[in-house]
Amino acid sequence: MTILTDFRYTSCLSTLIFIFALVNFSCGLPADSLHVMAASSLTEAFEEIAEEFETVHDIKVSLTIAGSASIASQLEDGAKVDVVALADEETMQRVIESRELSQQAPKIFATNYLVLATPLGNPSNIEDLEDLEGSITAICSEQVPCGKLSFQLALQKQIELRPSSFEPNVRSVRAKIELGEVDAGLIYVTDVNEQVNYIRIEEAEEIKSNYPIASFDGARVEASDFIDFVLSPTGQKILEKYGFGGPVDY
Amino acid sequence: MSQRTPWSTFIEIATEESVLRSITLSLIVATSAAAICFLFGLPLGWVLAKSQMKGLKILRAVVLLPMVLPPVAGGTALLFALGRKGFIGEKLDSWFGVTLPFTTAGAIIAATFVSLPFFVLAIETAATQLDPQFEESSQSLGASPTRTFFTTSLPMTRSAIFAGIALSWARALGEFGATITFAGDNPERTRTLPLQLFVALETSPERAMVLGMLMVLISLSVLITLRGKWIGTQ
Repeated sequence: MTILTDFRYTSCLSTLIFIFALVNFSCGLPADSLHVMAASSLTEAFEEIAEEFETVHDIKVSLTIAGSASIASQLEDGAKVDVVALADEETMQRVIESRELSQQAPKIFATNYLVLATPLGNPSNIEDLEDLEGSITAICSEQVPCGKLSFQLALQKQIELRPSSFEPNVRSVRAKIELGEVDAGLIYVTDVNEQVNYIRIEEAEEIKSNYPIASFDGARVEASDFIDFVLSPTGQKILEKYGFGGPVDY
Repeated sequence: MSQRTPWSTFIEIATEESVLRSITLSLIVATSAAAICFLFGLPLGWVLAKSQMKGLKILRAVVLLPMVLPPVAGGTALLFALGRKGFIGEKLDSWFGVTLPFTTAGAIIAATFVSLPFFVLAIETAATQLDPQFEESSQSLGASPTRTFFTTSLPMTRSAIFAGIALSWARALGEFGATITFAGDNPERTRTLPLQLFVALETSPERAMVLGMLMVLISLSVLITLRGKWIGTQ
């Protein structure tokens, strides 16, 4: 028998190759990278920020995107992270209560507000918040920042929100709108894309969500560099490009 | 999970209005789904087992597809077919004014979609394994094929039928991905226990524990009752 047809030899070899591959590819999160967790509304903005940061600082950024509430839950369960950027201060407060933050307090790096969104062509002729009553609508679940903001807005405008569905994050709301399954929904102005039609709500720009960013005790040294980068003119320009407002000067 | 459940607050959380509503919804959805599985799955399973016609392999693959499909993919497929803008759903909306997403009916459809394969498989297996001599003797004694079916064949697969019902009921009870994607999360009409649990997981782990334990208790009690009554050894 030749070497290649000898079963014992090939099975031994394939096992070795398998183990070799496993060892080399099993490190999903390389030990020497900066772990950043960001809220889903920050997806594209932070992907670009991470890319820019990597070229300037010569360190890999490992970005995880999830709903703010989901991020907070994971952190409560002890997930390892260097930097966290969330969509509202209330959720950051939850995180602060469960983990030790680094010396610096969370900093507000961006703001956002809600707009009314409808499928392209606005088939149900939605014009303002009042039109939501009696339509099929989707908003974020009240557990997540955009949901809380939606209820805040409704309270301000004295409208009762009775949505057909509470979605787990703002991108799910947008998806339902894109698919035409709902007549309208409330999403962030930064989530508006070419598949939805959006309508500005009067005074909604004043009911803003403040986006905090923070780092933790024991995080990598580059964590504060990342936060500084997000707050720098370069970082701020990227955020502005995606529709975010700048931080309010305290 | 039993160890971590805060038993003192268990009753408090379990009797909350929203939780009771979810329990009711879950029971309605799971039972309706199991009933539909029975109505459609019985003939379907039997045909797959006994029929000789061509194209059966394809039919079987289509029926069993939801079993291997990730539930969210199943829900998305349902949306594309039966959603308001789906190719069938659009007709439903324009002809009858009926939309399925965000309704309890939609939740039932999503649950049926994922649990039907289990029932069909149980029936098909049992029907294939039937000893033909009983049907043959029944017919040789003068019974028509129809009478044979209802008096001989069907009763012989009784335990498989009940097992199939229990299996599809349990699967329907636990369905999450297809429900939230197709039927959405509507607290009055579609927020079944798994959806309630998902929401609780992100805000109150304690509440999530209670809901999880609740699901285990409900499932266990139904399955134990069924097993005791119907699924005995032949």
